[in-house]
Amino acid sequence: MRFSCSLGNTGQLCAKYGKQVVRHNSTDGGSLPQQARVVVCGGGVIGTSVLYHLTERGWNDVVLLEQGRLSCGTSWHAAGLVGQIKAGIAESKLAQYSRELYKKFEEEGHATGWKQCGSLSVARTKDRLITYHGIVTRGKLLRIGAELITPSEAKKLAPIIRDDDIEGALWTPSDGVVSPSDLVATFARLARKNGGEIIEGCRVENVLTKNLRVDKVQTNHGTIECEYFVNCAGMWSHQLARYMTQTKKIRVPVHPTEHFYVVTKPFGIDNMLPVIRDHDGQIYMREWSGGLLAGGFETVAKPVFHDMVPKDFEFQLLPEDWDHFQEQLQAVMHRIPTFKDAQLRHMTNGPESFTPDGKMVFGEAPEIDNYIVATGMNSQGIMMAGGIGRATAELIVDGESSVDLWQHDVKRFLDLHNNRKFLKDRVTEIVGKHYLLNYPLSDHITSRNLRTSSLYSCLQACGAIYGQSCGYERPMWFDCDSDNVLESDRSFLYQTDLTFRKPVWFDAVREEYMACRQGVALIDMSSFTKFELKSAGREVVDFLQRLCSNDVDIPVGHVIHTGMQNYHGGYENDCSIVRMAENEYFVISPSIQQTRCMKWLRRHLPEDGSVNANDVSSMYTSLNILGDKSRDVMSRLTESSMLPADFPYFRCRVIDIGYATGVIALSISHAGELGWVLYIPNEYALHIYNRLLDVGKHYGIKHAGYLALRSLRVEKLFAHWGQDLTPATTPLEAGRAFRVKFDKDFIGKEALLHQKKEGVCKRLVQLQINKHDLENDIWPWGGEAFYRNGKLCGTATSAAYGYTLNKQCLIGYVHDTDEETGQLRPIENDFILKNAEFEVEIAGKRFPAKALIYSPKLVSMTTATSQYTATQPWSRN
Amino acid sequence: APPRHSCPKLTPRQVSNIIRQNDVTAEPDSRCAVKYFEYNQLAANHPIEDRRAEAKCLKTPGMLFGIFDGHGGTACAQAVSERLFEYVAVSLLPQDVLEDCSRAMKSDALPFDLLEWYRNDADYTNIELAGVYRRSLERYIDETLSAMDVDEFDMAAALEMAALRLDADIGHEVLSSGGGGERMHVNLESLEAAFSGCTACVAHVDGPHLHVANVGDSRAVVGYLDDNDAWAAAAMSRDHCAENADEVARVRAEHAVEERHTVIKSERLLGELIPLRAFGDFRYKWSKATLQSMLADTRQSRLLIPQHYASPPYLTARPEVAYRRLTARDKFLVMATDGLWEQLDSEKVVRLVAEHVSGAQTLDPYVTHKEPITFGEVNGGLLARKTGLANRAVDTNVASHLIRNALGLTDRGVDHGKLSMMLSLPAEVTRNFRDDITVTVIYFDGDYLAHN
Repeated sequence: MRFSCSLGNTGQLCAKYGKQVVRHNSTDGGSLPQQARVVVCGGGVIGTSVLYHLTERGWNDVVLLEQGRLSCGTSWHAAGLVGQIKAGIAESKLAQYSRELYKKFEEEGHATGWKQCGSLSVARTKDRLITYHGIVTRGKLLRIGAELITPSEAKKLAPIIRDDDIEGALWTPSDGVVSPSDLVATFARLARKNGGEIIEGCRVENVLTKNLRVDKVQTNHGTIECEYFVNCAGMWSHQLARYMTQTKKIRVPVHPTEHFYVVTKPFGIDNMLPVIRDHDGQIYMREWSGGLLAGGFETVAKPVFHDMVPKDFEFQLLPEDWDHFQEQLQAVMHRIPTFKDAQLRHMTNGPESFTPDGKMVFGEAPEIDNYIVATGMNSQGIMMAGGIGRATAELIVDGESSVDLWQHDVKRFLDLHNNRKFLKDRVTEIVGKHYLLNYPLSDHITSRNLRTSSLYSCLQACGAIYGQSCGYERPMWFDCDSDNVLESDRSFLYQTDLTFRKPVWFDAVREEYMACRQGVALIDMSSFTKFELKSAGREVVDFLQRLCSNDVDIPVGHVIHTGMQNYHGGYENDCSIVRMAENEYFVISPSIQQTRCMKWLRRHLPEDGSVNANDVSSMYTSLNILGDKSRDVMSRLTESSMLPADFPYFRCRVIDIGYATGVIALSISHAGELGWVLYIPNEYALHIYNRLLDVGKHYGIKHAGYLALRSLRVEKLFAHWGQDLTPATTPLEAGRAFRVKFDKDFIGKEALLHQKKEGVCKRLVQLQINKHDLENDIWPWGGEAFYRNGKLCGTATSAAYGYTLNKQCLIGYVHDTDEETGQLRPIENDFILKNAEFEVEIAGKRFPAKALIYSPKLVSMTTATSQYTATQPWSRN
Repeated sequence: APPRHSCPKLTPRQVSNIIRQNDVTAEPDSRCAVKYFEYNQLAANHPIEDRRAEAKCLKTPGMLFGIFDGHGGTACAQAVSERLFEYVAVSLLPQDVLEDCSRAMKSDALPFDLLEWYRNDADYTNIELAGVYRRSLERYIDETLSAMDVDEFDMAAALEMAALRLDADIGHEVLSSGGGGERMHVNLESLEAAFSGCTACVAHVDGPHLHVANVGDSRAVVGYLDDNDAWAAAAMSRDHCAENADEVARVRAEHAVEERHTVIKSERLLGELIPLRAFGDFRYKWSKATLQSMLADTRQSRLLIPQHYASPPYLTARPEVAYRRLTARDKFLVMATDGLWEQLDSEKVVRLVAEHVSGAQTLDPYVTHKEPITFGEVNGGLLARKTGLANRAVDTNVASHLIRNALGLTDRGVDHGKLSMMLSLPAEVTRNFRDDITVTVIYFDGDYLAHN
């Protein structure tokens, strides 16, 4: 079941052009058609795969333009590894599909060089094994067999490896390798056979738009009218987007870096040797013509082509840098002792494109309609090509891809990510992160301290340890004991502080948590996305009613939580909406929604311009003041009445605080506690902060950070967009049907009604682990497998220690898989609540757990507050 | 290379002591385009035949820096290092100042100083000939005054004039002295200067205006940051030697076609002299008749007339002058005698100075030097380079840093064994392995250049 809407009215537009080929007269570069439905720019493995998949869907009025020759940029020197189980489920699904496709090609007689030699990853440490457990779990969910094996079993599979220093290994027998050049040629040949056209030596010079929609593509051989433009230009994609778009530059934050591998002369390597990865040594190896190909992902990489990719950089390599590669070379010789005596055939240093977060750049550009981006593969282009090609074709043909790729969506970026200096510095780190141990809460160390709240320095002086979200520094927790709080690098978590076990901040966050419940605490939440929507009359109400699944026609001064559903009924966004006036709303969304949500609003805004949407995120400093004593503190801060009768839950008042005016105060806390979030015009922030500390000290006010907030919300089963709520999950699945008003029209209603009738196949639950040894057991951090009566039934999307329950709490979806078909079956609440024994598996060890579908009743510390729960209707009084 | 086992090993400290014994850092006493400068000299000849000089012009703005590579003795280099800056200073003077100078020179009572020298206690001046030098300079001032050109001042022409006049005076002081035995007695020193020779490379820095006048095969290079913020070398001189095709063509054009193969033979002037321009060396400048009479008078076998001496002069002290307008991206000027450039090219020198400033150090890219090669061998080579980098000797003086690299650099970094060998060669063979080295590095004041 698919709904083809999110790219606009696809079907109608397509009818505009028939397959009527009119050609430019051109001497070189072949003859260029005057029009095509889709112009794909870039003849690497991604572009040719996109073209192939479009033609497979019956779209044969499509043309691929390559400025040089097919595969001449990066694809031709790729190592060709095809590993399926990746860091996330979505990209694993893409790689899984790629592997099936390449295997099928090979079986049908199309050359790809596919060889199912399996892959073997060795763990040098116990911590590495923990991450391999996660891979095994994802493999189980996707039905890709992967197992943990002993060092001696690993040695049997790959006798050339040294096994005396490893803790274990991961064996994925269905993985393999391909020959990248063959693969590109096969995609190209099949696409041509299906009617797609490929023109080499044709350079895109400008993408012309009409009403901010793709209209024409100008090339050095003439102009093509088209509906869609797909940027698969790899290392050129950034400059193509930045400089070669008529109306405005498009953000494609991709930066090439140097990537190194060496190839040996033949020395009797078995043709079916598994791909060997030694993540701790930051290296990979595969068989290559009887020898080995060995490459690495070094800790600090070398960015290249910062200004521009040189003209005519085709089938070219970068200068060798042996000194830079030495540590990886050493690691290869360590893992494969005979490598020392192998003879050098050549070293390859070729450019590969990386992104600010190591995820791909995919989807429709927020700046221009029908401008599709599929690039920034972070050295995974060959593995991803099949899947991303299919996803791109689906996005164009169906309006969206079957695998939800929101984490890879180009709309996750802000302008700052496209800053060339930011990119250059950041990618030095991204390359190494590909293999380095990814501990919970590990953050980037480059390109930091960019977006900061007005209170950044004040909080830093109080020991704030910051984490970055969308370039914004947010206090994670406060290290009050540390002597060296003023040392600038102490405001980030040390690498040595990172662990899979009990974290260093455990006790400090308990204090913060307790203040948030029993006392009073202060959290700087300035990074949230904030929009103002207005109209002259009721247009803004009608507009938001259509976008939101909850009823937003609330009285002025009221606040409501609502989802914005997509056409599937999934969460496009989850936000708080404040009615400031009859014709004015204030909308608060997660930080990562800034670009995405604005694009969603703009796409649906009335064409007559009657509704005005404005991003005011940077205008306000947001302070969350929460805890049982927050009402007392607030009462002393302002002359406005804070009495429950005058300022109940879910209300908004514009108040004066100290000498400051125009502070928007919302009686919500995002944590299910009594509290207020203040939206303070930036210039008053310091004044109010100082007042707050002054008044608050009599009540023992404490600084708190996002870790305390996470503990509060996970313990209460509050779902967060981007973790527990995604475009692929619906309010019915998340247990938030009470926030959906079916008595009005809204986007996604049809899908939700359908789902209501058919039943949901997954359900958001909270699992509380009963017997977890905080000191000695590995902690849950998200991604852990859930078992129901011994059968895998889901994974955690969030995890935190609940300081009131004194238990590890996990949020995640459970489902019921049909063993034979692999399909999910609809489930009722009883599937969770009756005759069900749940377990959580953490790093291979299973813990019995209690499952809840409603927020647990936490013992209230005082009787002063009635408790708000996220999973049940809140009755407005 | 000589067998290493025959050379006594020096300790790292001994090596550093030898390298650093002449290094000096100095800075101008008032704010100008020159932030500070560092120099050093290492001898291969005993005694060293290189000279250097640094001074501030007192009557006009600007500073002068010079390096002088002597040959056939030290006399010419010594004389030029003492005298050339005064000739340059005179050439730069406007008419009114020149008149004051002329008056001052004639009266011993008036103070007369064209230059403020930056000398160290190892430098010396020739007291015996001071009077001769002064008379020549006085004459130069007077003649300049009478020939004063009212046309626009031309810096390149002024520098050329100064050099040529000094060279002419060096010759003149021998020829014009009195007669008989007395002449021999008085002017033996002058004769030494005229018999021997030297190259000269002189930089004049006045605000953002950098002029370099070069005679011979020393070299000056500006290190600057290019548009991509990468270090680059801008040549401020061209080597006047047989490898410079323009220079060879110039010399050949000045003589008859028949002399084509004799005027430069075996990459030397008349088969004898390596630099194609030089001060002194009147054996290649004077007429045959003059040389013959000199030979008769002095019985100096050094004045034997060279073979194929058909159309003198063969040699000139006319400098080539280069100009560069300095910007804040121009960071330093390196001047050095050929002893440095034989070991390091301009780009490498700029890189070494730049890395010395930043504290980083890099090597030339590693290249696999044989085929076939195993990865074990490659890795061994790479590890040796890492050790070389880790063990890098840190000379605070950049001129010492350059000299250390010139003598000790290998593809694994500076190698102590090689340094030790180069610095402990027996005196009689030293000159076969290395030349005298003089290095002066002038750091520009970027802020000053940006705002003036």
